[in-house]
Amino acid sequence: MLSRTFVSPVLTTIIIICIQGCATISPFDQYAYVQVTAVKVDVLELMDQSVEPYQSHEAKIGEVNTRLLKIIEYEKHRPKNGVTVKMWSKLFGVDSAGQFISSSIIPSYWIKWKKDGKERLIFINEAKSQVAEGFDLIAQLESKKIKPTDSQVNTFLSK
Amino acid sequence: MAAQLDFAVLFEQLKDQVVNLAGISLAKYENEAKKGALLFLNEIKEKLARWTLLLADRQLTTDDFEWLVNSQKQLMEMHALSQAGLAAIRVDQFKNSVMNMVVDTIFSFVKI
Repeated sequence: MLSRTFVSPVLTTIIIICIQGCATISPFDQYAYVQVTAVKVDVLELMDQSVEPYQSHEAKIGEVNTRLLKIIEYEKHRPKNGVTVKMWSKLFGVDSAGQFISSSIIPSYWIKWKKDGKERLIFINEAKSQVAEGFDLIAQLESKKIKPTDSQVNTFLSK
Repeated sequence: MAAQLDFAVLFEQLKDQVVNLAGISLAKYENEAKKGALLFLNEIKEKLARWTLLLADRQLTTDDFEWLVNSQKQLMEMHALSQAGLAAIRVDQFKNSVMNMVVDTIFSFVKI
């Protein structure tokens, strides 16, 4: 006769293997979520400054770019995270040589600001709304990913 | 008792439950996707109308307008990727539900 004490560990092991091996997309990552929401604030604050000359904020732009690159590097190393990495490439694209992709949203804003010298408030507000939406899409996808505590292992173990 | 298990019956029961679960999960996702796509289309329409007016009013330059339209193109691609990601999450949730169901069904069969 099979007892629960025998069946439970066996099933738990099978389930853990299935969850880890069969997942289609990476699970929720609190660190990634916090990073994307925090850097969004930095980028939008910097865009507010684009009523002033680009040169006055070049150092700060460099800092924010570095922060964005670090986040993307972290995302690239998460398994089964291809969708989020591709979303980042639309918002802040960097090619294999480390050059910014000029069609991606944030680099194209910095390029335009540099070319124009200053931006007008009405354009900044419209542009900020676009950039914010890009960050929100990445954050929303992350927040909908399966939390590790949602797995059926916990449901199973709590039986 | 394990020796008395009829695996053919167990498997048929599991199969029926998986089919039911798939029907419920996929129908829900289809409705959500349709609603999201319609909302997104309305949003684009409103933005383009506003930017066109601002351009005609010379409150936006042609460069500003071009940047906004390009950013919208990138956002549309991000939306499509997001939908693909949400579908993948739905698949994983479905897999988890199936696993739960398998465990519950086996337990009910072995009566432990």
